[in-house]
This record gives sequence, C-alpha cells and structure tokens, in this order.
Amino acid sequence: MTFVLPSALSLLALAPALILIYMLRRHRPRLTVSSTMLWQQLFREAEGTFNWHWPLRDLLLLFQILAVAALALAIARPALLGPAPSHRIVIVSASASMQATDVLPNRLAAAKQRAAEIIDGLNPSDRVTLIRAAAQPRILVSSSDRASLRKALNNITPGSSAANLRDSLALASAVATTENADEIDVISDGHEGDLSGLPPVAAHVRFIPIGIADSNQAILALAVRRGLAAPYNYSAFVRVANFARVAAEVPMITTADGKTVDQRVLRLPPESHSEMVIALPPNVHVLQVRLQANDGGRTQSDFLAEDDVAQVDLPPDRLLQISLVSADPRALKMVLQQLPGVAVTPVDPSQYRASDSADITVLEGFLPAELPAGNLLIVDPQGDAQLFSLQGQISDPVVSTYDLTSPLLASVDLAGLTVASAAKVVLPSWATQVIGTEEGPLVFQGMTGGRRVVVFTFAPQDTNLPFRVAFPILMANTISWLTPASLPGVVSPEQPVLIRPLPGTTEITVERPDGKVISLPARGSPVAFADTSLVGAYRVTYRGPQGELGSDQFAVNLSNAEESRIAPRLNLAGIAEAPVAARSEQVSGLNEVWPLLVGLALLLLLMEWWLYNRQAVARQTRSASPPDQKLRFIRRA
Amino acid sequence: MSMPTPGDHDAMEKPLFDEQFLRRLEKFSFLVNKAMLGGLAGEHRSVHKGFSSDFADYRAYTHGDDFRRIDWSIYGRLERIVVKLTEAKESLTVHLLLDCSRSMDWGDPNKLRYAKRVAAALGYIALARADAVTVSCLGDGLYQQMPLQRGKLQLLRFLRFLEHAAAAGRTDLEASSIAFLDRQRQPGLVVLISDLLSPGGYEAPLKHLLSRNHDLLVVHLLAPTESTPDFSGDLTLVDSETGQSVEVTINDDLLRQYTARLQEWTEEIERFCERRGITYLQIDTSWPLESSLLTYLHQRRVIQ
Repeated sequence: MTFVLPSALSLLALAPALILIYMLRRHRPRLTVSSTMLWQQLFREAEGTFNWHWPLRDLLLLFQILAVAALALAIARPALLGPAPSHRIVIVSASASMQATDVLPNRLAAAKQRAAEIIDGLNPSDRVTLIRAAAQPRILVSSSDRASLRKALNNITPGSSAANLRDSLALASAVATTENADEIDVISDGHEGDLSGLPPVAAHVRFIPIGIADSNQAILALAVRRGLAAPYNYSAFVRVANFARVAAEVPMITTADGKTVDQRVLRLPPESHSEMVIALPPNVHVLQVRLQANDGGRTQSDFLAEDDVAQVDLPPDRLLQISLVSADPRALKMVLQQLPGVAVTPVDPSQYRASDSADITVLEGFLPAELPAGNLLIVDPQGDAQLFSLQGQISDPVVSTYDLTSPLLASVDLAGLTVASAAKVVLPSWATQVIGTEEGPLVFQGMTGGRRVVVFTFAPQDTNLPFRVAFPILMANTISWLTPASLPGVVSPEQPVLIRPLPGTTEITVERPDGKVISLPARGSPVAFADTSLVGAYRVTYRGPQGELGSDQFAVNLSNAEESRIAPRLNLAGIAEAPVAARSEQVSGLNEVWPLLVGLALLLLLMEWWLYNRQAVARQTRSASPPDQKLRFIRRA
Repeated sequence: MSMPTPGDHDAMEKPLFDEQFLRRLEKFSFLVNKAMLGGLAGEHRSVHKGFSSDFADYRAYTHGDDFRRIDWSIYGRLERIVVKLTEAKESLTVHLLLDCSRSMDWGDPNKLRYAKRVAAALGYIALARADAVTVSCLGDGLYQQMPLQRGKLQLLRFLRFLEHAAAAGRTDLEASSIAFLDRQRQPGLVVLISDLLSPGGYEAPLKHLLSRNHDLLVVHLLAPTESTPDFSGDLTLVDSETGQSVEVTINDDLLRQYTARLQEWTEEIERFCERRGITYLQIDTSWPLESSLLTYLHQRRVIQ
C-alpha cells in the first residue's frame, strides 16, 4: 500500500490531541452532593497505587480516536498497488449522416447504445473518456463514474456537418498519451473525410461501424440570382442527387413565401444528380425546395431527412438610406440619386443631429463634434476632425499614387484628374491610401470603431471629377463598399454568420429553427453568431430602445454531398495505417481506498453516538428504578 | 441528572404522617435485646423480679420479705419457707438521635425529612406503649434536645419538636454522642438515624453509645443518588457540609468503583454493628415509608 498524499498522515496527531482534550476537560459544572467523603476515599485509594487510567477503556474515546484515525488515513488517500485500471476513449460521431434512420431509431442512437455497451463491459474502476466528434470535437466527460458517463452519453446531440475525426483522434491521442489510455473506440458511419497521413495515435484504434443502407436523395445546392432585366426578379438553381444504387423517383416542390411555384417529379438514375433552374416571381423573400417521397413521408428509399429541404432567404427590398450633410449638396446629391436602390436625404449642417439614423452618412465640408452611427463618407473635411489629423490645405496637389486593388477604384479611370486644393491630412493608422500625393492622401479608406470610413480630402467642385465618367463609378464603388452587408441568404451548418446591426440597434435576437431565441448585445459593431448547428431558417430581429427596428433571416442548409452519401464504411482508411506511438511503460495502478475509510469513520461516529445515548438512557433508567428493585441492593444482616 | 436541593421546605410543611399510618403504628411495640431499667412500670421485661402475676422463680425467705409472698403450699410439702418471685414489667426509654447535619438536608426525597418520619414512627410506637422518648439533634455537637416524654399525650409536643428540627453544621458523631451521654444517663434503646457521613468515622461514637449499656439501633439512610449517582461527565462535586470540592470525571468505570466503595463501606458498618450486637438497618430514602418501613422493621425484629 502507498499513500497519494502522505503528508495528510500528520492529521493523526489529532488523536493525541483528542486524548489531551479528554484528560484536560476544562469546563466542569459544579454539583453539590451530600458529602464528598466517599469520592475522596476513592481517589485516596487510587493515589496509593499506580493509577494509569488507560484511555482506550472508555469506549466513546476509543471510537473517537478510531474515527479520527480513519479520517486522517482517508485524507492521506491510501491506495493499493495493483494492475492499473484500463482507460478507454470512446469517440461518438455526431455528424449529420448519423441522423440517418436505416437503423432504428437512428444511427446516433445506435452509436450511443454501442458506447453504453462498451462502458458497461468495463470494470468499475476503469476510466472512460467520452468524445463527441462533430465539426469541433469536444471531451464530454472523463470519469469512472458510470452515472455521469451515461448522462453525458445521453446528452450527445446530432450535428449538421461532417465530424472532424482527424481533430477528434488528435484529441484522443493527446488524452491517451497523458492518461495512458489503452484503446480508442470510434463509433461512426465513416463520414469523416480523408484521414490519410493521420499523426501517430498513442493507443489502439478500433472502428465500430454504424449503419446498413445507402438509399438517400438530397438537395445538394440551392442558389438564387437576380434577374438581369428586373433587379428584384430571381431565378433559382437547384441540384438534386440520388446516392442510392437504384433509380429513384422523387417529387420536388418549390415554394416562394409559402406558395408553390414549381412542382415536378425527378427521375434520378442510380448514383446520379440532376440540375435545374426555376424562374421565380418578383419580390420573393423566402424560397424553399423540398423533396417528398411518394407516400408523403420518408420511405425506405430516403433514410436522411435533413438534406431533403433547402431554403434561401432573399434580402428585403429596402432602399439604402443616405444622409447627405452639406451646405451645398447639389453635386453629390445629383450623383448619389442616380444609384439604384438608394434614397438620399440632404441635411443642412445646422439641422444635423448625431442621433438621426441612416445606413450611410455623407459629411461634406462639415465635421460635427459628435459623429453619427453607421458608415461614413467624409468629403472635403473641415473643422474638428476626430478620426484623423488635419494640417491645413494643399494647393494644386499632383496625384502620385493609385491603389488599383482598392474596390473604390474598380473600373475607374482617373487619368487627367486635377485637383485645385485639398485638405492636408496625415494618413491615420486605421486607413489605407487609395489616391495619394506627395503632400498627403487625397482619398483613403478603412475601418475604425466598427464602421467603414472613406475620406475624400477635396471638394468635388474643386476638381474636374464632376465632369468625368469616372465620378459616378467612383461614387457607386464608394457607396457599395460603405453599404452595410446584409445577412447571407444561406450558410452551411456550424458556419458563423456576421450580423451587422441596423443603426440604433441595442439588441439582436436570433430565433433558431427549434424556436429557441438567443439574445446578442449590439454596440454598433458586427456580431458573430456561431450557433448554426441546426438546419432550417434563422430569424434575426434588431431591437432598439424604442422597440423593433427591423428583421432579417438566413437559412442553414445541409448541402453536403459527403454527409448525404450515407453508405456506411466498414473501415476507415488512414486509421488502420496510423502507427501506434510508443507508449510509456505500463505502471502499476493505484486503487484508492479512501471512500471505505470515510465510510468507516462515519460508522464509528454513529456507533459512538449510539453508545453515548445508550449509556445516558441506562443511567436514567437506573436512577428511576422502583424502590422494590433497590431493596435487592440492601444486604440483610 | 437530578440535582438534589437542600431543604425541601414544601415537604416540611406537610404532616409527617397521616392518621391511618398512626393507627397502624399503635399495633407495634419495641423488641429489646436486654432488659431495660426504665424505672417505672411498663410493658417490657425487667432484669429485676417484681410483683406482677407472671411467675419467675423461688428463693429462700430472708428477713424483711413480705409475708404475703411466702408460698405456703411449698412450706406444707417441703417444710421450707420460700418466697415466690414474679417478673417485673418496666417501661423502655427510647433515645432518638437524629443527625441534623447539612449532609442530611439533601437528596430527593430529602434525607432529613425522611429521618424525621422514621423518628416520628419509632417515637410514636414508644409513646403509644407508655415508653419514654427523648429526641436529640446531632450535628457538630448536641445542639437541640427534647427532654424525656412519656405517654400519648406528649405525642403532639414530640411531633412539633421533630418538625422544627432544622439542619445545621457539620457531622461530628463522636462529639455529639459524647454530649448526649453526658446528658442522658437513663439506659434504654438508642436509635441513631444518620447517613453516617461523618469525617471522624462512625466507630468511636457507636462504641461510646454502647459503653452506657444502651441497646443500640443504627438506621443508616442513603439517598437514591448516593447509592446510584445519576450524573456523569466532567464535574466538580461540592461537599454540602464543608464546601470542599472534588474534580471528577464520572464515567461507567468510575461509577462502578464508587458503587463498589459504597458497598464496601456499608458492609464495614454492618460487620462492625454485628460484632457488637448493634442492630443495623440500611434504608433507601426512596422507599415508601408507610408501606415498607414497618414491614422491614418487623422483619429485622426491631418491633413486634
């Protein structure tokens, strides 16, 4: 036997302390008796002899000392040397294909059942580390407690993407190295991608395949594009695949905002796919394509339902609000109004209020003390510049540099640009120069404080730009770059979505397909939303102090051919070839016995309590015995 | 743990006995081991021959004998003049020595009150049979005494004296017994009612009392909590008489030692008394006096 914490044995010193306390007994109540003559005689007799009162004759003290000793030993964590308990790592795949119902109720449930059988087959002292293999592998629990293992196993939820078995095995290998695991069990249908070149795994890897069938039809792609003639007319592109080894006839229904716009039956040869383009009516917001079996539900020809539905949410038909703060807005207003989907509101500098919300604010010849929220286009900066430093004026600057990679200069020809005067600005650290001179930048762009900013250091009327074709293109590019990006119409499972709050938004709520609402704080800057594990529509609501400001939505489609190809694999290439790294020499295991000692201490304390009460009751019974019984104590002459 | 309180005044105010018990007491009389010289005629056999109707012996006629006591029938048959002797009947003097030290004013029931009741019972038996009774309160000396009383008419005075006897002082049986003997020279039945918890011991006073040809009865009272202490743990025991304290840790082991010591002590007293012809009665104050004391006294041939 050894001790994991031998220093705790010093607590055994409590036992002599207990004896000392027992002997000292400071507090002694005073009790008047008729005479102390007999008591004194008793002690006088004792003084004449060696009166060593062996403390252990007092059963109560004996129990107390034994309890202290048991607790001290328990804290020292005594352990019996013996064969080390085994450590098993169980990886349960939670990929989307594990929701296939070719084994009932589904592959994930079957995998959990198999994992439970493995856990139940181990010795009670054996340890199990349970890993959920999804896009991000995660250790759920590492314990020998069967209840916590079973609870963690039951809490495994299916994912909507491929399982990252490479990272899962790397994680398991790291655990096996540090925790001396014997074996890694991978319970999966084998849809974990290419595992070739997997680093050595520090344990024997055993693959337990799940699944028996391959029949599945899936929507692999759904894309929508704007019509060329009308900007709000869309056409949908759909790709449907049949992964079964037999031909399939699958009804497909296309709905736009809940109304059926197309209905057809697809005849798909074995292991083939079909593509089609569907014209959509104008002003469509939500487009959904659904595969339906002939009997109205899933049949034996389609074992995975998650890839039978695809949805796209189209951006709302909303005008871009541009606030033009200028004393003379004519030139800019004229060119901005020509841009499609844009509403320009001129504001006199004297009427400017920072609280007025707009998607883009154009500040021409005016810099307020308080900047508005949202993206900014600053033209001819004058006044108190907060975002950069103004150092006077430049006269007749000569353009020396162009950043042709900038999206602002796409298709813009600035040859022959002349500028009469411009503000002299020191290029701030957050910005990149787009058009520059020897004295300083003429145009620069960048992001600061969570928003996009473009600065023109000159007034358009001081240049020949208004008379050139490049001017509206430059402004269109600028406005396009400054336009807040709307939500993507569709994303893949577990792909983060960047949500840009509307101006004045203080809170963003996202309602998931299962109805759960997630609240995100908004402070002007974009918010990343990563809880996209469920397939379906996500509704985003922007809220301000006065209530709801607007809403948007996006969809998560499975659209993963690797997951839709549900044919199970019986082995995984790569794992079997992975060389098993040399493991540290098997050490003897330490079987700790402290729980037994704690139980023993508890038992001893209970016995001490019971004995104490029993003695008290006995004394009371003795003192209350009837006189007739006491007569027996009287010796008769 | 019961905490005995000194001086149970409520109990003191109650009458010592009820009438029914007193009537039972009238049926008893004392049995004495030797003839007592009571002086007056009574119901107890005297060592002297007297003039009662009970025949005792014959003796030769001597000058001065009463002619009326000559047995003429013997003279007719044997021609010898003898005088017929008859037994004399004399009264008994019962000396009740009541230990009134503070150690007696303790216990539940209170030992002193119990002692008074025992004394009252014995005194009543004596008074009812025309015997004489004296009562002496013992402490560190003889501090209170009721002079000799005789006859039932003195019963009220006797009981009043007992009821007013109060506990005081330490126990010094030797000094108080010597003081008693100095005052009471009339031999008789001496009844010592005490807990015998006298630091000076019990041997010397009992020897003193025997030296005057008294018939001696020792009634040794022990409270229940003295026989079997019902307290435990770490305590400071305070002597009710001396105020001395003893620190003890009372556990089962010590209680066993105490009980053994008590038993050894009472056996010593008992052997001492047996060797000297002293009647020794050990009474637990938890006994109901009315129902068990008379039976016990009768069994021990103290009364008949």
